[in-house]
Amino acid sequence: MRFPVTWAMPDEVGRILREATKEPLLSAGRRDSETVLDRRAVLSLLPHRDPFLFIDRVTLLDVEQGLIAARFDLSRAPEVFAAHFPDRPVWPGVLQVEGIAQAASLLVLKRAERVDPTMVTLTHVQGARFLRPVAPGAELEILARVLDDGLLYTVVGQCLQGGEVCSVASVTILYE
Amino acid sequence: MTRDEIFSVVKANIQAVIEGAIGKEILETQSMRDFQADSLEIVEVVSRSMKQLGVKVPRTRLLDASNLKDLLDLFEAAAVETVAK
Repeated sequence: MRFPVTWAMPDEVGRILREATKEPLLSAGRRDSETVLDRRAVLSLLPHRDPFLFIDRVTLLDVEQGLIAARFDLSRAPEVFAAHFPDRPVWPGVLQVEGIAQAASLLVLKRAERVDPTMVTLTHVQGARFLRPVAPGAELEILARVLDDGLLYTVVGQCLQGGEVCSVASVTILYE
Repeated sequence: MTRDEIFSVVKANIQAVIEGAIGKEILETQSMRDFQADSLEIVEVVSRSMKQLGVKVPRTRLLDASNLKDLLDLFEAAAVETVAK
């Protein structure tokens, strides 16, 4: 039985993903800007709510180039660290991927002509690599590059802590 | 872009994405469901085709397409609009 090619990662996405394991998608100068979307604005766009909202604010939103930089204060989720793991608190990889998907969803919603937060769907996780553990105490920085693929949006995202790339992931989002 | 060219792109994507269509003849009168495509595979075929054809059709309008003929009609109309712009 042939493995459907739809499960394979497009070459361009694979290249961006590999490069993203080496350095941030955005320079420090571009992502260290002031808040452009605060928590209230994030809540008005995303359908997610606590304890499953992993974006506090957005510091860069470039709809034309499909780039977003967002922050999440890890001190907001002590119960996660308490459970994952009691003796070695680490921010779960699946929540890092979820944060990337949420950041990308914000960008997709901002560029949409008609905003309907209920119409954003995560359809694929093409791949992810967890390079460094994310520890409690500091902000998590989430960067994402969104590629328009017709009906679908393919995303390459990163989670950074202290400027270091901790994880990279590629996901696909459907909107409308 | 001719209708035949549009259909070639759509057929290639159906063959690439939907396992049940591999090696089979694909006709305008058929639906992707005829090849046991699931909803996500249909979205992938349409999405890839839209990107390759350089056209945009709102998903709400795509829902009205009951077979490949309807889908080609939508893509053909969108291609004409794109050229007109």
